[in-house]
Amino acid sequence: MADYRKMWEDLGMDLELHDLLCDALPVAFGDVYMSMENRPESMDFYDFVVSEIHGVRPAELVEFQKKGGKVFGTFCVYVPDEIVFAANGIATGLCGGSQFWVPGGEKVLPTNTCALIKASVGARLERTCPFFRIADIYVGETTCDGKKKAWEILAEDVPVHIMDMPQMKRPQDTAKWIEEIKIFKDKVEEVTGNEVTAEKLSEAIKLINNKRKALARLYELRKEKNIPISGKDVLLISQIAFYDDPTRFTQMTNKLCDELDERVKNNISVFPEGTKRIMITGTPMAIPNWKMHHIVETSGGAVVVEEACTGTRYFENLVDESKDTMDEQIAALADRYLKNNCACFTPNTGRIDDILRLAKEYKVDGIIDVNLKFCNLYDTEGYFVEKALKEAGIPVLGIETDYTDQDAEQLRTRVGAFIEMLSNK
Amino acid sequence: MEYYILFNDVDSGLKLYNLLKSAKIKVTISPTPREASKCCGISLLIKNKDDLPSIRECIENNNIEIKDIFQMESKRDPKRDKFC
Repeated sequence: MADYRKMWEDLGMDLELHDLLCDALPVAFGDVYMSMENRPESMDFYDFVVSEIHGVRPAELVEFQKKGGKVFGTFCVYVPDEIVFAANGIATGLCGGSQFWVPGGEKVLPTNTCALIKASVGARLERTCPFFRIADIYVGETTCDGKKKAWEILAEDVPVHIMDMPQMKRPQDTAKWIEEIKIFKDKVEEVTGNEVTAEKLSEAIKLINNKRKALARLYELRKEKNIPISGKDVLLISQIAFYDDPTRFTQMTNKLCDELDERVKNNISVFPEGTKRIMITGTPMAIPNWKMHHIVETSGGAVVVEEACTGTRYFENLVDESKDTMDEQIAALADRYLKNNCACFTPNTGRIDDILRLAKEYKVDGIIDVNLKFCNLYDTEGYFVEKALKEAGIPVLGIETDYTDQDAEQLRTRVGAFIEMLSNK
Repeated sequence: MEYYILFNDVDSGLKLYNLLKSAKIKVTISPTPREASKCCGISLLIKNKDDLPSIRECIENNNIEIKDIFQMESKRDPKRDKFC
C-alpha cells in the first residue's frame, strides 16, 4: 500500500483523527464484503477503489488540480455533472455515509438533523476526508431545510454555490430550473476559466449518459430469476459511481456486466433458490453506509433494486443527445433531471408510480422503506408509500434508522420477521 | 489463518494481482488490515494457503517488490454489525 500521509498533510487533514477512520474500514469491509461467497471476479475493481478510497482517486484529483483543473464537490443527483465536465472540470460526490463523521457535524448542527448532513459537515470541518479537502467549490442545492442551513455553515470554510431547486413540477418550475442550470454554467465557467460550448456539452452529455447506460445494464441483470450479483455489491458500485472517473467507471461496469451475462447464461445465482426479492426505497445510502443491505442479505433476503438516489434515481432517464444548441441542451438537461422524483417535491406521486413499476419489473416479494432518522420529507412521504403498497397488495416494512450500530440487532429482528412473513405468504 | 501480501506501492500490488489472475491463482484485493500496517491501501488476500509457494515464486520471477506476507487469524464476522 502506498503511503498517502504526505498528500493528506498537504491537504490539511487531521491525520490522528483520520487514522481512527482507517481503523474501522478494513474490519467493516471484511465483515460485509469479504465474507460473501461467489462474488463476480470483476468486483475486483470496486474492491480496489474501496481499499484505496482515500488514496488513488484523491491523488488523481490532486494531480488534476496541479495542472490547473478544478474539482466540484456535489451532494445531490439533481446537480448536472454534465456542465462541470463540459468545462473540463471534475465533479465528485461528497455525501458522508459514516457515523465516524457525525459527531463532528453535531458540533455545529442540531442533533435532530439527518446523519447524511451531519456526516458531510463533520467530514469537512474535522478535516478527515481528502475529497472534502480537495474540492475547490461545493455545489449545494435546496432539497431540504437541513441542507440549506448546512451550506451556510460550510460556506464559512469553503466556497459554496447553491442551486435553488424548484419544489413543484409545473411548467414555470421547469423554466426556473432551466435558469438555475444557466446560472450554474456561468459559475462553472468562472471557476474553471473555461467556456462551456455546445460541442463540449454534447460530449459531456454522452459521457454521463454512457455511465447511466452501464448502470441501467447492471440493474437489468438483477431482474433475472437467478440473481447474478448481490445487492450489497451493486450498492457499492452505485456509491463509487458518484466519485470515480466516469469513463473508467463505465468501462469497468460494462466489463462486470459481460461477466454477469455469462452467469445468467449459466443460471448462476449468488442466492439460494427461493430467496425473497426485496426492494429498498427511501433516502440515499452514501459510502460506506452498507448497513441495511447487509442486514437484509444476511437475514434471508436479496436486495434486487433500490429506488433511491444511490439507485434508480441516479441513472434512469437519459438526457436527449440530439440537441445541438446550448439552449436546447440545457432544456434537455432540465427535462431529464426533473424526471427524478425526490420527496422534496410536492406532490411527488411520480415516486409512488416508480415504486409500483419497479416492484413489477424486478418481481419483488416485499419492499423496505428505509429512511434516515430526522429526514422529515421522506419520513412523511412514507405515509403515501406504505398506503399505495398496501393497496397494491405488496408487503412493506417501514424503517427509520441512522448510521450507528446501536439498532442493528433490533433491525435484524424486524427484517428477519418481515422476510419470514414473506416466506409464509 | 489468513495471509495478506503487503506492498509499498499500489502499482506493485496491481501488477502482482494481474499476474496471479493470469496464472489462475485466487487472491482478493482487500483493504490492508490495520494489524499489518497503519497505511491505508490495498493488500492481496490469499484464498488458499497451498498457493503460497507458487505466489512466492511469481513474486520472485517477476521482481515484484512486496513489503511482507502478513499472517493473522481471521476476524471476519458477518453478524458483528459494526459498520464504519
